[in-house]
Amino acid sequence: MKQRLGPAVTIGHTRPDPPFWGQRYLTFNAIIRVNSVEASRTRWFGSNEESRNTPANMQRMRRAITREFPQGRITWAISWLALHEQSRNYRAVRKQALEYHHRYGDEITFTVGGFFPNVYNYRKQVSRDLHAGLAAVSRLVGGGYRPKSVVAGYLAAENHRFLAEEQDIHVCQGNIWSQYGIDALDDDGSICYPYYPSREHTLKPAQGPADFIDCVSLDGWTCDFVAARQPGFKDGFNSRLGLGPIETLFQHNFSRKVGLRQLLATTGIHFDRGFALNRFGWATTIWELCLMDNEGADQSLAAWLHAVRRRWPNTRMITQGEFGMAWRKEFPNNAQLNYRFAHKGTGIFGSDASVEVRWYMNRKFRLALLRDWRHQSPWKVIDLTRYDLPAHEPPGLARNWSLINLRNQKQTRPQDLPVRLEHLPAAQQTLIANYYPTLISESGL
Amino acid sequence: MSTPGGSPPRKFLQAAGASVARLLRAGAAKKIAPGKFHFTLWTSYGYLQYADRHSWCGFDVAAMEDVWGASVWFNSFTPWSGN
Repeated sequence: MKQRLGPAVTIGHTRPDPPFWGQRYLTFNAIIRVNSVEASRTRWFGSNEESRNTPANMQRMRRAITREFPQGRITWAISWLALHEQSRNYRAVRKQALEYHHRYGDEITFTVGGFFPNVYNYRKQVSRDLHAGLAAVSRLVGGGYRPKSVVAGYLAAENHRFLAEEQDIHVCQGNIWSQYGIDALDDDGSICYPYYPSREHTLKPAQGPADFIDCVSLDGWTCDFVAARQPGFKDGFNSRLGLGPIETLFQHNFSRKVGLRQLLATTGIHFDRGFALNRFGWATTIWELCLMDNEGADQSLAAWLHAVRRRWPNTRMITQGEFGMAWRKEFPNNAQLNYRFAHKGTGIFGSDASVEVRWYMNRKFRLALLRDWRHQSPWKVIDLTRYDLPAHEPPGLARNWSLINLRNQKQTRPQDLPVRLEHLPAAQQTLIANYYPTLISESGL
Repeated sequence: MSTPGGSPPRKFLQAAGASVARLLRAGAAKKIAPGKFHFTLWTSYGYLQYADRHSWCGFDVAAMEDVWGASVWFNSFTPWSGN
C-alpha cells in the first residue's frame, strides 16, 4: 500500500486532521534536565539528577506510554544543561529522544529556566535563552526542525510575545494554574484551559487586537479543583494535588493506589463532566524524567494510562504543540472562550469529599462557586477575577506573578471571604449575568 | 569539597521554596564570606522528592518556607544573621 503511494508520500501525511470538537485530549510532557532547578545557563539549585536522567529511564517511560497508547505522541522538553552536557549519558539521552521523535512523532523542545524563568532572570535574558535553546534543539534534530511548543512553567507576557513574533512558536506551556504559596512561584489567577495571553499580563486573556499575543498559553498540570482552592500546604495538604506525579504519586503521604485513584478522578473532571460542558476535554501533566528512578514509577504511569484508555477509549494522546495548534484553529482569539467545570472532592488529601466547586471562565472574568453538597449549603463565590481591568506583571525579578483582583480562591485577604452570588455588588452581578443570565436567579443551581 | 586555606564550607539548604529576596541575600552572604558555605534550594516538589534522612544529613542548615502555618528553622547557624 505504501509503495503504491510512491516514496514521497507517507500514510501519516495523507490523513486529514480529526475534528477538534468531541475529543478528549491527553498531553504529556517529559522534562530532561541535569539539576532540579536550572535557574539560568550558569546557575542551578537543588539536587543533581544526572544519574536519574538516563536512556534506561526514558525507555521505561516510553514503554509505559506505548503499551497503553501505541499511537500516542509526547513532548520531550530538554533543559539548557541537558542540551549541552557532553557526558556519555546525556549524549545517549539526546540520541534516545531523537529516536523517539522519528519513531513515534514525539516532539523535542526546550524547557527554559527551571519552570520559573522570570523568577530568576529578566525578560530580555529569558528571551535570549529561548532563542538559543530553540536553536540548540533545531541543531540537535536537524533538517530545519522547529518545535511547535515550549515548556516554561510560568512565562511572562513579553516572553510569550517574543515566542510568537520572533521565534514563530505559537504554543507555550506558560502558566501553572492556581499555584500559590508553594514551589517558589505564585501565579494564580488565569484560566486553566488554553487562551491567548494579554500583553499586560500572561495570566490575563487578551481582550482584543491591541493586547493580543498570538501564542496559546497552556497550563502545566491539571489540578483537582477542590484541593487547588487552598494556598500552599494549608492544613498540611498540598494544593497541587491532581495530575502532578510528585504531589499525587510520590509524596508518600498516601499509598500509590490512592494516588492512582486521584489521578483518574482528576482526569475525569475533564473527560466526563467537563467534556459534556465544553464539548472537548483536556488533561495535561509534566513528568520529570528523573521520577522514573522511583520504584514502580513506570508501573504507576502505565496503570494510570491503562485506566484512562479503558474508561475513555477514544482519548487522543498528542503533543501539547499539536493540541495547542488544533485549538488555535478553532479559536482565532479569546472572544468565544467559555469554559465550565464542575467537581466534587475526591476525599483524598486536600480534596474534601463534601465540597463541590464550579468554575466559569471566559475572556472577561473567571468565577468559582463552592458549596457543601452533602448539606446542600448555598453556593458561594470563592473567586471572581476580572480580566477586563488593567493588569500589571512585576517589572523585574519577582516570585509572585499572580493576577488577583476582586476575590481570589486562595482566601489570603479579608475580602476573599466567600459570599453568596446575590450578595455581590450590583455591577459584579451584571457582569456575571451578561455571560450567564440564569446563574444568579437560579442560585440553587 | 574543601576550601583552600580555610575551613570546609558550610552547607545551606533552603527547602520547600524560596523568595527572591532570600536568594539575593544568600548571594550577598556568598560575597561576604566567599567559599564559606554552599547554598542550594529545594522547591516544594524537590522537597517532596528528595527530603529523606540521608538527604538532610548533607546540610548543616536548612530553612523552610511555603509551609502554611509553619516556618521552621533548623540548627542555629544562619549565614545571613547580620541582615
